[in-house]
Amino acid sequence: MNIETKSPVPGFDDSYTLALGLDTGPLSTDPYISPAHYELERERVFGRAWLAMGREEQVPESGSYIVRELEVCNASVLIVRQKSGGIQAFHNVCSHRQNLIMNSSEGRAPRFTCRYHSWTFGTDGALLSVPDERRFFDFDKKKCGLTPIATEVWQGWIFINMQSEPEVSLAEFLGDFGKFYTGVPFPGSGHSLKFEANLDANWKVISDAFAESYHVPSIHNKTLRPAFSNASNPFARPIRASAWGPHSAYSAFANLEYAPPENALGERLAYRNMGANNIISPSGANEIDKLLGHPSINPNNSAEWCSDANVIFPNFHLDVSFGGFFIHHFWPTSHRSTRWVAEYFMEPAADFQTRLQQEYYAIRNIEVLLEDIGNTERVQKGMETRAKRNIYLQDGEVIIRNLLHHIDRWIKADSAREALDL
Amino acid sequence: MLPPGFETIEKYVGYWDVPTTSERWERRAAASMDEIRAFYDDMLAHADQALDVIALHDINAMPDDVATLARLMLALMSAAVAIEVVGAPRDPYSPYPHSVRVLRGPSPWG
Repeated sequence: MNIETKSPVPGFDDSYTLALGLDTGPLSTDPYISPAHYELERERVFGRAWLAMGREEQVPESGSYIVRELEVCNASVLIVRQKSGGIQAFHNVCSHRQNLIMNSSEGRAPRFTCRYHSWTFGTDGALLSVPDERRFFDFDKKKCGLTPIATEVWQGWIFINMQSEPEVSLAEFLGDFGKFYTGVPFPGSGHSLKFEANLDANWKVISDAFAESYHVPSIHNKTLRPAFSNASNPFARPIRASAWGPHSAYSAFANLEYAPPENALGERLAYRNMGANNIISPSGANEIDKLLGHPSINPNNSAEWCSDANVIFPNFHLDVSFGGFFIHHFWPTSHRSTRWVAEYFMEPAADFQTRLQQEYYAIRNIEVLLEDIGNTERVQKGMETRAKRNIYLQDGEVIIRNLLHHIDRWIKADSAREALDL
Repeated sequence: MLPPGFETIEKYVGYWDVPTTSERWERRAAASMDEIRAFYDDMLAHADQALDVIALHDINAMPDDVATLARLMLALMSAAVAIEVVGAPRDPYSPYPHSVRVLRGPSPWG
């Protein structure tokens, strides 16, 4: 890191980038297009970092499970609620001939049976039964349980670590961000509006699309610009940026004067029970007020606040807006392809007016997300032309810079502990 | 198919009454602006009356005709975004057909 960049630069007294001690120069496109760089990310970032996998509500009872494909680590992960109440992840791989055991992405089972030869495992991973067991040679069932994956839960979020013995605990990994966000409630965690797409773009191209608001007045000219910029902030500059080592956050600006236009009769119908501040949100439940009242949400207590985007290293965004919270996962499937999953959490509607509002929110979100992710494959193609070898980032794009800086750190560091400065 | 009093919008049931949020988006994206406008105008003219009828029933236990009306109102939201926000059946700069799958919509009829 170049310390010199901390010195004042004319016109940049209020720079987030300088305040966070980051460089200000152009950045190489290599991390986005180089297969060799991707191999290093696989081994040194995804192979060593704690990875957010889901919510504990997704595995509510003993035997409830989810299966997640983790192409970037060549893993199929079976995450199971234990009889003891804890949550444990395993490789979804049979000890016999290594068939993948569970085929469905979620469910509940008292035990897990491989369809190939009916080897059966308990929810704790122990091998329970083997058909015609006595025809195996020197066989010790106790040694043939499922292979566990290190699992920890933070604030209801399930994380795994692919190191057989993680160098750092989840608390150490999340560091000061983990402390900052402790006690934040997550209302509506049991149900989400869920989107998924497989995109031909590096995972960071897609993460970057949700890590800055500079693009809002341009690409979201019709869908978001009126609510998220105005004459006082025409370029939708962020109203705050923070970093805690590799994790970072920015707060986006809200145009307080925004109200649905007079002739937007459908939009007004959707939000007819709501105050002006709740425009473009999925629900107005009381629990949302508890979330928004937490001191770590809109931490500067800005009146012109619309959302916080928390970028949890490496590939997880945990965002909060007036409507509640939403997440993005960016799962690499190759150096130039990604499975993107977004979930907007909301309670099932108790009445039709709420359901109508959720529908409007969902449809408008589809438009916004198509604008965002529709552009990512074009960015990837642009970078792959190699016409340019650098990208330029302005001050409002500081979160992208922080992510790239820390990916570089993790790739160069001999250990996760060193990368985290522990 | 719709409750009494909604005969004039009965003609929209065939095209616009589909089970999920994703399909309601698709129906609108595949329609012409004139078709969306006609549906939007007629639905808005009946919106207050429709919401009054729908509000008489539990959202999870509606008679079939009321549920059909409710889904038409949800389709109105999709039409409204086209008329009031995008200004077209779909954004000309966004990919179409697109690869975004709605794995789960809001409940019910998501």
